[in-house]
Amino acid sequence: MKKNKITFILTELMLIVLAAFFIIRIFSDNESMKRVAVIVEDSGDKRWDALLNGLKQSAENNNLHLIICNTDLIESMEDEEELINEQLQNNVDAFVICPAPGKETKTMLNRLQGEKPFILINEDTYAEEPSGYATVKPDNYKIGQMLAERLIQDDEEQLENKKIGVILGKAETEENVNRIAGLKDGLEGSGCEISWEYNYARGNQNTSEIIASKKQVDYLVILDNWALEEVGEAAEENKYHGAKIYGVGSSEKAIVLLDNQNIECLVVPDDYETGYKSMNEIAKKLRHSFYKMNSCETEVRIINKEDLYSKDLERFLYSYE
Amino acid sequence: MAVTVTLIILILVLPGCNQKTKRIENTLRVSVVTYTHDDPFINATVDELKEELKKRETEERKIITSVRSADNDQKAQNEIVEEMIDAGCDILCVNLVDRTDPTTVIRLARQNDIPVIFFNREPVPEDLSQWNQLYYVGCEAKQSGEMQGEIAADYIKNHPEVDRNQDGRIQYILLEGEAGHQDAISRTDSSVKTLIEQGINLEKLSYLFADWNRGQAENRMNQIISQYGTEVEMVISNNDEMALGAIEAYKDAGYNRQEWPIIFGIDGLEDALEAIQNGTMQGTVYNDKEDQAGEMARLAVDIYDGKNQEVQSLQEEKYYVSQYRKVDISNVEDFIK
Repeated sequence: MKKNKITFILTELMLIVLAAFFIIRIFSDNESMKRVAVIVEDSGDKRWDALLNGLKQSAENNNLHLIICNTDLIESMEDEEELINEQLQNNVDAFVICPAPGKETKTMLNRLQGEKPFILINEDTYAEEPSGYATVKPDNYKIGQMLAERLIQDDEEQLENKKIGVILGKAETEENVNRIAGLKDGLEGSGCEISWEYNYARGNQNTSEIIASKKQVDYLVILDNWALEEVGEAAEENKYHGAKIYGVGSSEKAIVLLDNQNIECLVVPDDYETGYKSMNEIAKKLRHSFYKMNSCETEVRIINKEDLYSKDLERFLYSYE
Repeated sequence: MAVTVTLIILILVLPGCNQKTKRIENTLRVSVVTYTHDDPFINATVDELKEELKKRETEERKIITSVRSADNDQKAQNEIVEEMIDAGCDILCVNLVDRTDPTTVIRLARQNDIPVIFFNREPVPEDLSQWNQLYYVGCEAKQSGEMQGEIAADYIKNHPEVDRNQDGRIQYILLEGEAGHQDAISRTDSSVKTLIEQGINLEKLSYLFADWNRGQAENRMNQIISQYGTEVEMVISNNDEMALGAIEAYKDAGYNRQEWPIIFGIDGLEDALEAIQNGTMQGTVYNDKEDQAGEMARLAVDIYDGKNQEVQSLQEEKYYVSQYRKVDISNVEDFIK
């Protein structure tokens, strides 16, 4: 009986020591920096400068360790899942993700949801209904609408009988669906015709040649940053028979193209704000595991060349540096 | 009670115990860092490299190539290398900002056991011999200068009208990359030396540093044109980008073509090949980016697969030196895709 009692006390003591060890370990872990992985397509591209600056600034303020995933093109849910799995093995604590195209992305993210907190940026997953995940992004429908309004405003005949060619980003993305919907709704009743639509995919086509093979138009509306850079650059050689270019872009190059008058008008989503706010939400979640992350819409500006160096736009331009 | 508490704590803590980064099997992750994002030759080389690596993907092995640039700042490049290693990579391809300062890159790579293929800007041999997992793929700058000198000398001998003022000397301008840059010095020296050896009498009017950049070269050449007018008979440029800048300056100046100098570059950029075709440039030296990108891709895959075949074929098991080729109007068609 006495022997049993001693064994029991010794076991209890050992377990208490073990418990104390792990409690200390938990607290020491809490002091180390939490790791947040960011997944965006072609992460080294200059178009992400403002976004990464926002993420970096917020990570620094919140004492988080930012990991910018080494990525190439992300064309499907499988590509993105592989990157996520790699970072799960890299012991990250949370993710900031720009969702891959396709309906399957939502299903894949459902699997991640139970494992690590994440927030979506730039766009929601592609689905008929919003995903319900916390998302920091511009209002993509409004972006299309803003372009439509500016086109009508700038055209002498308010677009009556004018022809428009539209270059979209990747198919099966929320960004794409809402931007074109906003544009079409905005143009309704103006008397113009959208002569053609074309989905841009990076790297495997010469977009200028494709445009040249299509029906001649008065305006080119480009709803994707990368497409805008490529088409805008080639505009110098007057490849589009004088078609004026209106587009969406947040890269320094897009702004240079506006400055050089290769493009007439630019809608600029505030990527710095997207980066900063998404990281802030993740930081709150990592501090308080029961915190429910909030979605928010980030600012969008529409600018012409003459607006470029106004004080009002300084913050946008500074965020690229 | 203690048993329950301990078990809960164990469940909470154990998943976080393994802090070491693991490699995903069958995915080769190649991280490329360039010295700037706006050098067309480097960008074209990197595009080729991406294509070459893509070609080497198999059903069993995926290859992810990610590219970042350092905006001409070695400190920024060191930070990028650190970030890329932190995110996970298997092979680094580094186009150094400062070829004399690869210490941090080498230290970081070595600490994490990641082989480095330096390209285009060659580290000094002492640095490259620090570790057996450091390689270099590029060209010999001296050879490009010699070839440039040879093309220019041949052209002048076959076109005596180049010496417009008939003074028996060719008045020339040098467009140089960067002050103190080994490649710029080597290209300039060997080009001018070769011209002299070939019996061409030269008179240097001026030299300009334009940072390998078209825009800067155009601005500097505008000043030269306003100073020397049509006196300039030849422009020797350390690369095509600056040669193309000189062409822009002459276009803006509004001289007729007979009053233009002859212009020679190095690299074999697409725009330069077109310029040779249309007669605004007289020659360039083709820097074989396809060959170099192909070798980098072969090397990356070979190292990753733990094979030695490609490594053993390198000079001193470290260097791959690609050969330059001369381009002028007689063979420019062969280089245009």
